[in-house]
Amino acid sequence: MFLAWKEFSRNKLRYTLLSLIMIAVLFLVFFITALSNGLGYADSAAISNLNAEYVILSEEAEGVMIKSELNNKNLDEVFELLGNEYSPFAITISALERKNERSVDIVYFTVNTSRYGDVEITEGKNLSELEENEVVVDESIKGFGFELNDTILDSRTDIEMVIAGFTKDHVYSHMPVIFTDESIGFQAVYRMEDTYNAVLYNGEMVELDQYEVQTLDETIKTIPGYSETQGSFTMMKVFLVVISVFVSSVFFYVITLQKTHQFGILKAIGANTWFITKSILIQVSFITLIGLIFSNLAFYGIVQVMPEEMPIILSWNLILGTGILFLCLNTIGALLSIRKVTKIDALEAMGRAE
Amino acid sequence: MEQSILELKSVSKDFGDGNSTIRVLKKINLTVNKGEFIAIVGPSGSGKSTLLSIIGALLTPTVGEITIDQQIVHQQYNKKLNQIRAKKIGFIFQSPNLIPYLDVYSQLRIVAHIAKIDNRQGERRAQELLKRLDLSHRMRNYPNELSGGEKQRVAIARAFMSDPSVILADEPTASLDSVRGRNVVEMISQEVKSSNKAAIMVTHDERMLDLCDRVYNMEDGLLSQK
Ligand SMILES: Nc1ncnc2c1ncn2[C@@H]1O[C@H](COP(=O)(O)OP(=O)(O)OP(=O)(O)O)[C@@H](O)[C@H]1O
Ligand SMILES: [Mg+2]
Repeated sequence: MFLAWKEFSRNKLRYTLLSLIMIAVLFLVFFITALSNGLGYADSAAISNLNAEYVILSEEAEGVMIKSELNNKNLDEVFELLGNEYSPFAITISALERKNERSVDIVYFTVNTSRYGDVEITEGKNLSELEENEVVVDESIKGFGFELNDTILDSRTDIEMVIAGFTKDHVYSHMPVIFTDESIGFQAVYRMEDTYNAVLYNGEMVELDQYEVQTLDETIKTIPGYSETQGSFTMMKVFLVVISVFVSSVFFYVITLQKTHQFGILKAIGANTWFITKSILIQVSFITLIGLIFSNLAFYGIVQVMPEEMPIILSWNLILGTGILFLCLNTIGALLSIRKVTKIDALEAMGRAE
Repeated sequence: MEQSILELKSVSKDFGDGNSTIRVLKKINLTVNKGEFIAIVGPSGSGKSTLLSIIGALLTPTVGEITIDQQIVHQQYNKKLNQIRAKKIGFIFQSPNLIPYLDVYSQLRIVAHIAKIDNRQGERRAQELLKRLDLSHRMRNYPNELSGGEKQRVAIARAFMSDPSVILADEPTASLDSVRGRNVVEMISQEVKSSNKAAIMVTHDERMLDLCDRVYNMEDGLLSQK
């Protein structure tokens, strides 16, 4: 304890710089991870949060939701086979008009609002409470200046709707999702007749002839570009963590190796290895903790000033995991050089005291 | 009967670099009794520092046996060896070897800590030693703020700190003026006489030899009494 602190206070500049490096490295890890998590999430969160265990698609779709087409006849057939009416589901990409500003890209999730079930509401009404021309919108749309009870105008069809409620975690390809009822009619915008992408249902897995039934997870994986995007993000995160952990532990290895001379002195006056190790362990954990605390503060600060639309996701688990990983590997780095020092004898470490 | 603190029985040391070995110490026998202060003189490279390092448990002898207080030093486990270094041996190296980030007072306290001397006693002893070595006004200074001689005196104080049975000094006066140098040697001598210790000093300074009980000559790894 004594030694560790004395060394800190005597070499303030050196250890301040070392802590700054640690803070910067950890900040980078947290920031990039949070950003790539956020981006990966904004890509497909709305699909993962769909209120369904199973998804029924047309056979020709080969499991890809946006390639799937179901018309009213198909729906009747499916409902008959299932023995129950579930919510149909259609994805329609469009835009909303804004006064004197560029229109906003959004995506309609057309469902049967009375049968789809409820979503998590942050403000206003839920799906089952909607009246005519009312919709529930993902709250990320607030970033574009829309508020509860605003009237929105679809730029292709000039359909007017009222925002009756806000939900969260419903973004699709980085666009806010708008839940609309079939009665509004976006499922027929591009075709002469109603065309849905899927039927969503909860319950037991069933086999249907001429239709594809798959779990929601399988559906997410077949979103075009999904695995490629997620793969790149994972790769990026892994490399980032591996390289930064390596750099920081090598740093501690080198820093500790530089202390060979004083370890030699300590050994020569009778200090045992644990005495030396203890003070190094204190120093390594202290610097790593400082790094963790301040990098998190910096991260939190930067999130506050970042534009709303930039998706950021960082969990406590990840922070904790990263912290422990760095702590362990930095310690290992320092211990490796202590081992090296304790193996040679005190005299050699002191440079033969010449 | 005089009691011996330190005994060396035919101690030899080889240094080898793989293909050739040189015998630096050749069958050295030496007994130092309580209250005895011994000097070793000899030309550079004759093996004086090596001998001290072996006695100080910093090197292991190739052959031979060393006992301090009837304990055979080199057969001890590492853990024990550390404790022997900490409690039984006070080593004054050829250069001061202070720890750069500790002030003078802490240099001594750390020894007390390692030798497990209790706080109160350690404090008292540190202050007393600093006074005796004329360093009280330098207590809060760091090694890089001290002159060469001051550093050497701190190193001497450090060697005395744990109240060791054996004091080993490798040219302790080399960086001191003759008055201070003589003072230091007198201090070692006093410490040896008053608390019945043993001391071995390597020196080049003939003027100090009158303070020692016996003088040995080291020549090419062989030790002989003058
Ligand atoms: N680790 C080592 N490896 C190889 N040779 C060594 C080693 N240590 C010492 N020697 C050799 O042993 C001999 C004795 O060295 P030592 O340091 O004991 O001499 P010394 O009598 O103390 O000399 P000085 O008066 O110059 O300090 C020298 O020739 C030295 O080169
Ligand atoms: Mg020497």
